[in-house]
Amino acid sequence: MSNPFYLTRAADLDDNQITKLWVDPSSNLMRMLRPASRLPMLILGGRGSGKTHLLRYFSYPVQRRVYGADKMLSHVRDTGYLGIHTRCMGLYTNRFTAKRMSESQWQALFSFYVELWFGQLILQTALDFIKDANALDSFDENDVVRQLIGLFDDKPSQVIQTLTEYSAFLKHLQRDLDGQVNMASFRQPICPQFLINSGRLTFGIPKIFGESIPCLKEIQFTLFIDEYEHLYVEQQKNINTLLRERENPVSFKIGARLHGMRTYQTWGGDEELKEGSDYELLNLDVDLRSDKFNYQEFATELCLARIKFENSGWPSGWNDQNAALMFAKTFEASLPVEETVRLQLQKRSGDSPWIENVSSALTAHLNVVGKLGINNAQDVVTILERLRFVDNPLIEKTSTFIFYGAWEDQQNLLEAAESIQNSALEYSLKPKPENLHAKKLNHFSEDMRDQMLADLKMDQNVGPKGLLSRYLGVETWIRMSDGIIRNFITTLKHVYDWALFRGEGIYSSSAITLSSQSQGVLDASRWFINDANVLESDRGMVDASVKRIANLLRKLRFSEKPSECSLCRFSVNLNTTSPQARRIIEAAEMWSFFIRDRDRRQRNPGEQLTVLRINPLVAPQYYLPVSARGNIDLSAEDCLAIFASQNDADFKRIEREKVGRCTPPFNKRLIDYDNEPDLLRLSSI
Amino acid sequence: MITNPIYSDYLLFEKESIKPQDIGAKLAGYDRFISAYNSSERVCEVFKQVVAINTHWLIFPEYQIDHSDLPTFGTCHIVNAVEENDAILDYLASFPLNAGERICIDSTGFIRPHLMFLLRYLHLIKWPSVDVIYSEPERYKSGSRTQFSDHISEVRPVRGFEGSHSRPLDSDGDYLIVGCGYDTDLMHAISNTHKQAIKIQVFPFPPLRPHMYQENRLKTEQCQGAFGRVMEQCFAPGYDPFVTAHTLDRVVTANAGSIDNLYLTPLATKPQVLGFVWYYLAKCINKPVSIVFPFSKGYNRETSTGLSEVWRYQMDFNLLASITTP
Repeated sequence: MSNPFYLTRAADLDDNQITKLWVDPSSNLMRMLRPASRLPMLILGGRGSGKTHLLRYFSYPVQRRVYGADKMLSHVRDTGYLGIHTRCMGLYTNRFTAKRMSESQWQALFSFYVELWFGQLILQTALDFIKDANALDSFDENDVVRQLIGLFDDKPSQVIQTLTEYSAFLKHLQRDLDGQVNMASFRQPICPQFLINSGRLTFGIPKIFGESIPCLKEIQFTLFIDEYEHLYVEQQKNINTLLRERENPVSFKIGARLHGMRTYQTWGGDEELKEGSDYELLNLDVDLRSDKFNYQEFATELCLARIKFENSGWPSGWNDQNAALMFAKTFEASLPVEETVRLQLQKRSGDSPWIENVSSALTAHLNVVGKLGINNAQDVVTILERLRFVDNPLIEKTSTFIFYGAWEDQQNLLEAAESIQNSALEYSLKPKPENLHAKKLNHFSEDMRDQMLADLKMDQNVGPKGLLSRYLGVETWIRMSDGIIRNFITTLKHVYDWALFRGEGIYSSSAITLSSQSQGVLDASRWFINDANVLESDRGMVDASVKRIANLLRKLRFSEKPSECSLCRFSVNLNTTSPQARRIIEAAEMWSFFIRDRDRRQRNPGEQLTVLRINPLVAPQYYLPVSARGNIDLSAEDCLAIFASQNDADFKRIEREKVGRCTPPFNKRLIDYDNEPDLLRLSSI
Repeated sequence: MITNPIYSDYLLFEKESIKPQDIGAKLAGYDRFISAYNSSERVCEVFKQVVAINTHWLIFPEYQIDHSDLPTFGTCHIVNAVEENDAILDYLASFPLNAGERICIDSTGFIRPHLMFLLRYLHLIKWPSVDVIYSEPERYKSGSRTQFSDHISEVRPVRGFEGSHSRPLDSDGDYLIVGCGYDTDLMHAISNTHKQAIKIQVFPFPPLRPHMYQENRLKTEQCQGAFGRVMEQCFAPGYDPFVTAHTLDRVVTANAGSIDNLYLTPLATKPQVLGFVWYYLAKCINKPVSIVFPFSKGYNRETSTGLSEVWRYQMDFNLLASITTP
């Protein structure tokens, strides 16, 4: 039995797999991409969002597999375009740098190279289509070739009469240019045989084909340029210029990582590409997450397609009608948290840990809480009696949370404890909306449950019964993938790897154990972090920054009195943040450690804040929530300490200040880390 | 060139294993000895014992060596250039080659791209032959956890080893052959850069020291996810560049019908780096083949302890030319 999710990247799939594993419920993706649209498109997305799969699927070679070569004439006429996919990586355009040549020299050479590159692709695709359409005899090939040769100012010396010979001529020019560019490493001069202006071949070849070859009349040539982030600034300017000065029948779809567009400038003076007029923007993972796209259905169907492909049909007992249900049932379900907590409490003698924590906090700060009505040990005992609610650990935990809130508000704590006791009783019987516990649990229920597990020391060393249980199950993994389908596939890959290693039947009901699931989700989380290929010194700083902010959010979330529920977001004013911090934030966003939310909260009038959240796939390592609700605001000073400081001292100070406000005695006294409770040391991250 | 299961022309090239106590006797009579300075015992001790009229240290900025730590023996050439071609060409401009010079290069401390470019350059100018030596350590200081390089700045072809690549419409013609080593970041970077390519892994086996094979496999396994489609795993001795070259030749020939673009990345031992270079010089010039490398701005200058033995490889460019099909 093999892992149906072994290959996780579109780049690893061959064209047959791209075809067979394509899923597009309701043709949403076709509508999003609009391959025949004349207006160019920038497709930005995080790693694993599906850019490559999308662009490759709509390219001619894959469409030919889908529909069959003999159907391509009608298909291309119906859809109105020929899709030509190419990747920027692998051509190593960094050859066109340095070697003691000036930028302007490289600009001219790269521009010529792009023409040869695109020209060959356009020619090859058109030739394939013409052959598939049996249209080789439908036009005067000599005449077409004569026109193509006319695109060059200088006529080639060799005789070129056929399209195949013309293609070979372009290839020869490319190889000659490659050879000279490569020999420039040895300080040999570059003297290309020909030079051609930008756009001559890119626009000229399709125009000639459209006018001279009947089957290509009114057909658009759409260039899908993938991995755009691999081009340097000057090289992107070159292709941006083609975009801006686009001529029919050519258009472009450019795929790039977030922040992969190094520039929007063109070679036309100071002109920049303008959204709306020069291009339209598709934020792929944002759109996949949005309501208009049923991501859950998409993710499920993709998994089923993989399973069916890997097994050359459905596993035993599965069929088209029940496959989704059978898939969901293969994963062992975890116990509800309250059930787990009750079982753990039964093994203990004495109070629950959260009641013990209240006792410790009050005892440690008797000198402070004296002003709040606590004068002696008997008062502490009274408070604990009022907070206890043995029959329901969640209510009891919430009682302590409300109590800490009263402490922070400097209320009389004996009276507060009495109110809390009444509220707990009311909640257990028939809660009203204004009930204290109801109001808190409406927002903080997930946090309370996780805090109970943490208080019981049920972190990752305990395995899937503890905090890790919050990250298990298909629905949770779909939410954790957050519109990035590869993250979901990768989680499944690791889970299935463990299940297969343990000999678990991966297609039977409840066969994939909680242990395999938890091991798999942790491996997937580690993979996600290690897979980031952030280059140079940014890598170290991005790693450190992600750890810092994630640890800060974790400590706030597990503090006695978190101010926000389901805390995994932070907001910054990028305009006032230092350039270095901003660069690291953007690098972290480019590599999808942070995801930009749509919210742009205004703290002060006129102030625009950018809200970012930790990628949910990072969450298991820091016990952060998968669903994002709560947010902390970071000042410019905070950003400097978290994202730009080379040493940890600045960050530690910020962390102490913020966590101190959420921890007894809830003043601005910096907490003493030497004596911090174990709650804050959940894992050695 | 003849290569078949029984014989290969690559095996015509000479190599010799030298015990540390025989270095002075066996590595003598050179006009020029070139080494790259780092503070490891195996580099410094060998430098002191090799007998040559002129002994040159190349001081690479990637090792971040303070001026006060420069060696007091031999002639130091401080490398200022950023790129490997400029670094080597500047060195040779400062210390021009003389016709007939007997040259010995210690590859042990050499930054890989610079070593590769130097050999490429000597091949280009039709230099007849050069001895390249490599000193095997007793062990790496931190075993499989040894960190060799700093953060990766870019992945690109080594200058002089840039091919002329096509961009076929079909996606399955790119092949990446990786000489798998210890550095997971490097393997990760190169695999992610060529995520579309079909991968072939070459492991140094027999390894330099018996325990190193396990360590090597552990490190490679850590980035197996990045490798994706691995079509084949093969083996070539970690100490033998010529068998490495033969292995590459065999693998590429076996897949010749499927390969549109070939990328080679030697991330294992220095002798294997030489092997990749040798194969490239024999078969890949002016072809759609590049040697690509994940470049780093810094390298750890002391990763090993001890000196177990020294290998000498005779890189005979004349012989290579004579057996290579034009």
